[in-house]
Amino acid sequence: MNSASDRYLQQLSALLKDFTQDWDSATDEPITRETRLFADLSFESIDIIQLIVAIQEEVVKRNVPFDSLLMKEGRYVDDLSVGQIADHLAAQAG
Amino acid sequence: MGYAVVNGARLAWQQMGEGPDLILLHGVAASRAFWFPAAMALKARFRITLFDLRGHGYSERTASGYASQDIGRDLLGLMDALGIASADIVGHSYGGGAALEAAVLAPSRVGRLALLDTRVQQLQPQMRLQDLGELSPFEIAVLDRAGGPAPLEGETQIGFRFLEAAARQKVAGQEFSGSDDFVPFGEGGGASKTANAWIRLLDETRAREEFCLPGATEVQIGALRVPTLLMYGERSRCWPSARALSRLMPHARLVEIPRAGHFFPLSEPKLTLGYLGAFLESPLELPA
Repeated sequence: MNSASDRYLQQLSALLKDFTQDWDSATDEPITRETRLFADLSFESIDIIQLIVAIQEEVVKRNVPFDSLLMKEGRYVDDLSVGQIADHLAAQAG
Repeated sequence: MGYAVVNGARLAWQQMGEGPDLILLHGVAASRAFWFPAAMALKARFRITLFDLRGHGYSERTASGYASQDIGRDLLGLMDALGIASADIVGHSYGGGAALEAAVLAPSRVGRLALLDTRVQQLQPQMRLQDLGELSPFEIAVLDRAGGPAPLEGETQIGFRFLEAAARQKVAGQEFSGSDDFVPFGEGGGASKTANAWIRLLDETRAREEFCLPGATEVQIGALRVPTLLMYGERSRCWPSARALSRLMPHARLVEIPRAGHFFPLSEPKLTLGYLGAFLESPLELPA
């Protein structure tokens, strides 16, 4: 955990609140490093794709490769935590 | 990434990679996420365009416009909006039907055409329970919960009915598990949003009837001069379409994916990409 990752965590929390606000499954639980997109926020694969685009346009403001985070051996990973994304952004975008 | 209004529908699209244009179309009850893993693998060689069919993913649910010919026109309209004169087109399932229609409507805009486990309504207008052969564990579970096979006797669009039943069961909180195969609406802890969207599409729009409308005629399909790849899973229920397409398009290459069912681009990604990559990089020679 480092300051860049924590900064991204805050930005991701705000983005995710906005992103999921119209969903029936929207929750009032605070978003933490451990919050999982599929299990806790009712994400589906299309939402992940859409979220990555939003992260690139609104958070890092450039193209960041997400392949290694999203895919393992040509298939989607089972789930992804907000902390994993923050760490990935910190490592990729600084 | 962006939105384009095409034929009255706001469509969500995104592009990645650099190279010749390649457009990938998903099937019904899916989204552009279906093709995202393949797009990741192919983006070093192509500029790839993915989009959500109308009524799916982040694209608008319109009252109508869901016939394969309509979706084919959406594809051509999106190409106009994005300034793509021509592209190689790959479609899975219903997306392949739309790709075929686009090729018939505007053959000069389609470089290569790949149809993956596509059922063509014109060539295979009915699919009954007794046509399915061995049922998957998923289908057996759906059937059991729906009260057994009796209510579905006489049903001529059994594939759509299975999807609908699965979506309604998913929304009712019933989970499917125990299968290694891809299960519709079965991903992660969610997928009830996709299941809900599918039910609303069937209940609130003309999609249910329009999905079953025939498109191009056999003569039109037979007159197509576009390099074509047909890929079907060994356990696919769409073989009547594959055989008819092969007969009408003798130049097309027909590939069978061993032991695979309808969703082989997800269950057999390496094999699928191997065949697709070789086809897309083969010399572009127009069939005689």
